Amino acid sequence: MFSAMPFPDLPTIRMEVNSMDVDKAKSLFEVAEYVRKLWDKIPKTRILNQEATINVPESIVEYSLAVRIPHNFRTIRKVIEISAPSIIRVSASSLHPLPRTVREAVKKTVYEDGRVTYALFPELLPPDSDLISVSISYSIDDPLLLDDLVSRTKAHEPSGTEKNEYWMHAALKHPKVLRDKFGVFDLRDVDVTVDVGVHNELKTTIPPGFIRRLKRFFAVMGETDPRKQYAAIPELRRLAREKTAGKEFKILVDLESLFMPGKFAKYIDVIKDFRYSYCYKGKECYELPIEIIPKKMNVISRADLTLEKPAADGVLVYKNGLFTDAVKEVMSGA
Amino acid sequence: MDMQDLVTPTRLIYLPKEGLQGENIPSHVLWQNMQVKSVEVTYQPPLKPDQIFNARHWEVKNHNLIIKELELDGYIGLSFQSSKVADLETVVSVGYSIHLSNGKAIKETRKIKLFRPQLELEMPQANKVVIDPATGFVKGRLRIKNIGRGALIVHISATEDSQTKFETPRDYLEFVQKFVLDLEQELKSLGKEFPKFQPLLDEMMAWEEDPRDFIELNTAEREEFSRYAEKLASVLASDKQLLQSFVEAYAKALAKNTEFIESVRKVIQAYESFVSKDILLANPFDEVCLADKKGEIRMKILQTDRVFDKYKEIMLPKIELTCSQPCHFPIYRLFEWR
Repeated sequence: MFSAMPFPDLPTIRMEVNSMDVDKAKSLFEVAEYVRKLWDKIPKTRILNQEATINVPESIVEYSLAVRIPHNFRTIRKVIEISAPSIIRVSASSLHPLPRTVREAVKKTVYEDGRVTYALFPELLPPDSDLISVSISYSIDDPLLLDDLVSRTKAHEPSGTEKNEYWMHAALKHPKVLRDKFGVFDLRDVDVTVDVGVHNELKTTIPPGFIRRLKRFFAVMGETDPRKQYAAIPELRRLAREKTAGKEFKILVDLESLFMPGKFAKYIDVIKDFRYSYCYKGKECYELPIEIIPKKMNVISRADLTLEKPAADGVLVYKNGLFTDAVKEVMSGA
Repeated sequence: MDMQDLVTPTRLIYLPKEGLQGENIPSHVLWQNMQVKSVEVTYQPPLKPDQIFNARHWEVKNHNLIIKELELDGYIGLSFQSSKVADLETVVSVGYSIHLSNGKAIKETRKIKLFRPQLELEMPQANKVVIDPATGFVKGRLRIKNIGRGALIVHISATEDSQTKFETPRDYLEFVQKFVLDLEQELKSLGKEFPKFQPLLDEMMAWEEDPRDFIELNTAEREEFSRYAEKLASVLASDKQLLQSFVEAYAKALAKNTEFIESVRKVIQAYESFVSKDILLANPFDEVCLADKKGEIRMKILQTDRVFDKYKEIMLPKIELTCSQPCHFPIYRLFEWR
């Protein structure tokens, strides 16, 4: 990072976004438009193409322009300043005659008031370069922007022959607007979250005897009458002879660990256009979370959309048989 | 890519094979190397087009959607709205006709099976139930079954004129109160860390603080809740850091209010509240409070499903409860879940 320093007293192209525009610049189109207009104002340069990629999980847009520059570009423009609050990175490359990144041509400046600008110095571009690429990375502040761009749907109930498959779908809503604005447009890692119900595997696999034993222990522990405690001793002795007696704590800890993202992922397959991303314990809308055994897991899957492939479909397969086996193993206390 | 792929006409039609009645059903048509003039989609109730993507002009007539002009070549996206029908399962055909500029048409059909759950109840003989206070055994339970497909979420309550009432255990209510307060604190810190999510966090808190059971919300509120739930899942999936912090906020609020021993008790309660494969009880912790050795109870059952659709409220006839002493017992014990 460079500290604040005055630019040389040379002609500068500057297009500041005013306060209203700054707000707008936070959204998807405005920063790109601001940068494009900035180049449109430079005489004898020509934008040949442009492309944008949104990285959904990072909420970052990578916007690139390929610009034809005249031979005297280095002398007619000394500095091109690019500045908007949401911009986090600017880089430049020479595309022709030799492709190469020209890191030194862009300098980041932080002013005392906190304003950050990126200055492209044409004189630092390779002397023979006549085609350059400028890439701007900027963050999107609107967490709901994706809903304006993409229609996302998912199965609320499992289907398939084993009733363990959930379909997922994502489709661009306005591909033409995106093509008109950007030319090439990629949306990476569009998410769809499926609620995978797990309560049935738990209900059918956790032996009722285990729960009865836990309940009985609690009942005796909560008993304040010593005569009743004494009377419960024969029953406790009998319970202590049960197969997994004494391992209750281990069993509960192991059971809870089955729902750790890394472990539960083993019971999920995501096929076709989507891929598995992450999962976390879900809760039903009508209840507080149950920390050890959730009723469902929220599974996030992701797909890429482009103007060439504006719709994606996939299937999430919950391997409930394998998960049941895992619960059984935990319940055996092994 | 094979050179052949560059010139071979290809098409891909997508429609899921199954869906819950009431959910949005997506569909799309993708094609390459074909001169498409228009696309026609024929559908049947309970499907109806909800959104059409990449179409400039279209018309809908007699269950026929004709997309006359596309914005970009190669793609049509659709979203159908489905609704509940009398049949528990219905198979709907959707016909796709891709009209080419050479006058030819490509026709294909896809089918989707739309299903829904349905509750079936059987009252006890002579509407009498006997409770054994020592074992908790209930004789003459009401038989309850989901005869359709898909989960039903049910909320069982005593009617206002019922002599015997339901009660939520005080320790559970206290736990909820403290949990919500601590969660509010956690979410406040989360709001400072992620200011752009503050409006969503405010909305989340408003829902957590709402004292009503979700199932008691009216249709408009359910739709609002549904939108909020989708939005929350989407926002959490869009920001890794926020998701981690969100999960931690809930875990911290729970940890502050839950000793390990309490967690184990909740496992027992949770296990017992998993009443049936396809029925989820929304208020599993509520108890029937029989104030005397005998009492009458009138219950109503509210139901919904995974898309939060409203089902008919069920009013049960009076049931006589008998026990050798006044007692409290969980409401799920009154039913035989099948």
